[in-house]
Amino acid sequence: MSKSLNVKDLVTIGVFAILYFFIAFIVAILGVFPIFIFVIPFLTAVFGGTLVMLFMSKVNKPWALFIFGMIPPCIMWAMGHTYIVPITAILFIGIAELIFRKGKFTSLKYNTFSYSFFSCWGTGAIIQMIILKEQYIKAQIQAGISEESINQLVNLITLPTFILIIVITWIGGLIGAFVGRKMLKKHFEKAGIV
Amino acid sequence: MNLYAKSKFNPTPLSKLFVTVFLSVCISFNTSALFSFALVAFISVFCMLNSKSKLAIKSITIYLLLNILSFDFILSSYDFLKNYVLFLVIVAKFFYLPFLGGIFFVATSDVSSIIVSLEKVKLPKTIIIPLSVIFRYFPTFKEDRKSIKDAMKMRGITFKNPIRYLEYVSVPTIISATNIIDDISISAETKCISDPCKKERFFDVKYTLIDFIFISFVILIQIFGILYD
Repeated sequence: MSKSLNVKDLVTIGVFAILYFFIAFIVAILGVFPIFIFVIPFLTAVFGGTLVMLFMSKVNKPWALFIFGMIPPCIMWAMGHTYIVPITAILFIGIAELIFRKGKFTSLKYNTFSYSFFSCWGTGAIIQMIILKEQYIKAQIQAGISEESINQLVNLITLPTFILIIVITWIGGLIGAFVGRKMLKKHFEKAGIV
Repeated sequence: MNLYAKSKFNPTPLSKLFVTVFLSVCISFNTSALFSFALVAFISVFCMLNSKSKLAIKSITIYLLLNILSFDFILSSYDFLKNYVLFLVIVAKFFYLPFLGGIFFVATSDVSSIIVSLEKVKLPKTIIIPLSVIFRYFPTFKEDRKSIKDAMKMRGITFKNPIRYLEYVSVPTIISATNIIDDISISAETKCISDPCKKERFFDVKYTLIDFIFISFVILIQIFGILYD
């Protein structure tokens, strides 16, 4: 088996990245209720599990997971998020890639943990709130939003909450991975796709 | 159908991408309303020149509506619901320009011109192919979703049982996606995409006056908007 990515792998990356971005996008619509913003990464982790586990079992090569994972954050970056999102994504997806390699790309146990780290990239959208707090508040006040509703949100954005969010997302990743494994067994292995 | 080669007024995909990224960087600055409206109008004019008049009219009307709504709400007294709608309207207004740039990019560029122009900046193949597949797959994805929805309606599966509903949506989508992956990779293979030789293209992507006008006007309007706020 050759270890470099061929055209089929690259096409797989592209198509799966769209599906993954689509899931993340649908979940992000919940963000219209400001409180739900903190749950978005968790839900994305749970619902994206099946897709990413299938991707991991289809493409067993180095760098595949990394390129696949970097596409959604880069689209988000181009659409108005700050540079924090891709940077966090590089960190978490890098860890995921390392674990994915350690399990020789096929070990289910390693893939499960790899996915739980992979799904943490979504927290970048919240990390940018804490790092660029001042800028964020200023932009919101200039936009004409009342201070009460900004404070409601800003008071929640502290370091402990933020570590809590990463932990919750990580657990969400584990749940997503287990759901994904079940779904793989139930549907895709029978259909001969894996 | 080749959108890029057909129209004289179509900037290269790279300049469109550049404008989208530029606009998204600029949303952290405060731009005066008049100049942002000028930007929306400018991009809409380009949509019209590329025979996307519907998109142009839609984008201008939505932007005007958002502006009127946010203006109205600022004047009125605060109330929870009003405050809430105002928040949504302002977020939508905030992200409107980069979003419009992205839509313009997707609506007026085709896969082949994107591949050619990305090759010109010497991006590696591992990035070009996934990116171009993304643009190729969008329309198919929409069709698939529609047919899956129809099939589910016929069998009477509704949102009453959300977990089952999600399963019945996601599994066929993923299976049809894997079939499409096979199709696309075979057709890409026949077009010799993985061959490292130098390729002859049907058309060339050149930087012309229209690119210059497009980029410079957007940058100028944006900078004046920030200065004269």
